Amino acid sequence: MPKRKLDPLPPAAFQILLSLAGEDLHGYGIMRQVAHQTGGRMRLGPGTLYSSIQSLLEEKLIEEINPNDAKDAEQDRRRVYRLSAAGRKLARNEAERLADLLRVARAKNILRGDYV
Amino acid sequence: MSEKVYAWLLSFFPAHFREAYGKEALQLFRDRWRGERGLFLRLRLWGDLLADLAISIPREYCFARARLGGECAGSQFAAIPGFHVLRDDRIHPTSLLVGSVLAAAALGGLAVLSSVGTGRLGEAPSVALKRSVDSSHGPVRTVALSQGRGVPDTPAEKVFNAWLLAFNSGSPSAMQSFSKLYDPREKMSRFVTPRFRTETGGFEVLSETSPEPTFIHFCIKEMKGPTRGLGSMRVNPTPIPTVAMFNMDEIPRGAVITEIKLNAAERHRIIEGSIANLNEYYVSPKVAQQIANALTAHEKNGDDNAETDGGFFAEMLTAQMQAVSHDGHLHLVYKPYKTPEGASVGPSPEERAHYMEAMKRNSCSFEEVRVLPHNVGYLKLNAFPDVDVCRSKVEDVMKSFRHADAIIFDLRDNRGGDPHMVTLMCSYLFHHRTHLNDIYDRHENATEEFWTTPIRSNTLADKPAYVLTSSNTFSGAEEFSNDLKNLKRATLIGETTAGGAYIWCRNAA
Repeated sequence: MPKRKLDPLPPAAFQILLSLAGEDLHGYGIMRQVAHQTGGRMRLGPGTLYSSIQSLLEEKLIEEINPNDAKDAEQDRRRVYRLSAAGRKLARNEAERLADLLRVARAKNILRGDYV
Repeated sequence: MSEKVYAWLLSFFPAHFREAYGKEALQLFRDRWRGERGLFLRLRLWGDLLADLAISIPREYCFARARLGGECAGSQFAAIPGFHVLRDDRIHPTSLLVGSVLAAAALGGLAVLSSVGTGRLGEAPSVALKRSVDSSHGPVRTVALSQGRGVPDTPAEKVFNAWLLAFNSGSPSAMQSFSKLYDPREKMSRFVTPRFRTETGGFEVLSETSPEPTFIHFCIKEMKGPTRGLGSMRVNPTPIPTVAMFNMDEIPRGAVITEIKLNAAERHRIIEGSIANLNEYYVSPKVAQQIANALTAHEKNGDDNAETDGGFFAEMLTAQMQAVSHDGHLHLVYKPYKTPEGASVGPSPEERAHYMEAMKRNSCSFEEVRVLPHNVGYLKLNAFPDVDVCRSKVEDVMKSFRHADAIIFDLRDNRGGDPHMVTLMCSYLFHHRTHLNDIYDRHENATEEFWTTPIRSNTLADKPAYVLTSSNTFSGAEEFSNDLKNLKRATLIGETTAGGAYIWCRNAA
């Protein structure tokens, strides 16, 4: 199976990994969580969302959990996704990479103020 | 209504996506439609959806195409044509019909063209050959010329020319064919590899003499650089001559080649000199004495009498010494040249510059550096180069594994090198200063200790390490494997290594 492009990790895929870091979510839940964590800047459409989910599933970075585990009746019909150990590790590496980048930016005085 | 419009838009996605996520996508639309009310939010929703469709649909088609193409390519044998289905919809019968007609027309056209063009195509190689003959003049005889000379005079020349042709072509299959036909006993295996071809760029012949039909003596020069090599080959006088002996060595710059004829007195002098050196310098006096006894016994038996070629005589004595010592580092080397007067010990500035350039050319012997799936760092290192020349390269490579969860050192083609480089590479695997091993010089009664140096912001010290070995793994690469094994710092995987732990170099007159 050829790999979809996850290297470099696209922003949408990274945001999905982050959204699943706290809890298991279905598609709409992921979309809302991503919108929330980006301050409404990133609103994932169905195409981008499920295309990214498929890539992440193929790479075993997230996994689909058994619908029987889900609690209420409405969630029963939906697929729920969970972050895998590999996904958590990848998200951490990506975050570290961005932190490195941030350090450089800070050293070069690109950033103003003390909010970082 | 809106839902129907969106459902219709979804039908533009490829079938595989619709099947897997069509329902989910529609559900997401419903959720957002319910959640985002009011004119502004609805307009924004449609804007989001249309932008999303514009990006996702082409991407899904591209992916479907790459996947189908990739799977076909993976299962296909090289050079056999095949059809790749790029769409995952069912193929329409009309398409099959049109395809068949086009294929038949193309094949027919090709058949007509090939029958018309045979004569013209047949002429092409001889034109090319003539041109290469014209462009080569002077004492340098190029390979194209030797090819154009027709049938070589002696069996030795025939095999030598066949080697050059196969080697210079750079084609691994041509090299394999050569080895299979002329070198079944793998006497030249080191000199018939694509890697050696890449390092040298091929060879041109400076001179060759074939004093006997089964013997050839030659001087060649690498095409990528100024290095010259001197060697000889002996072949078996079978209908298809096969290589019986082959040797070739690099000539240092400025060296003057001398003609040496071996006779009984000269052979005796070499054996005596070797024994004296062994007794004085070899790390184990006991083994030195055993080797000396073996050499003397062979001489008394008359085993050495027939050999008049210096290179082959040196090889014969090397085999006799290794049979007793099992020490892959113990060699008697034949050097039919004199280095210029006052030549200092160690490389000259030019040799150093040449070495640095060569290292730059082949990435300090790193054949491959990449991060494998599951975040495993992999490096294939084919020598341990001079630490002063290659330190920054090693630093770059190891830095690229900063986030790796494990590291694999592939030393299957590593023939060793600088022990200080071994220490530097090992240093990445330890937090603290660690004693690796010692080198003991018996003549000076001196011991050099090798310790790792802690490396700043190194993340590999506590990561699992694996070393891949083979029967080619030799010398410094064995030391690296052995150090890590003894310190329980790495898992060794592969064949038993070649066996060369003693380092010993002594020039005889």
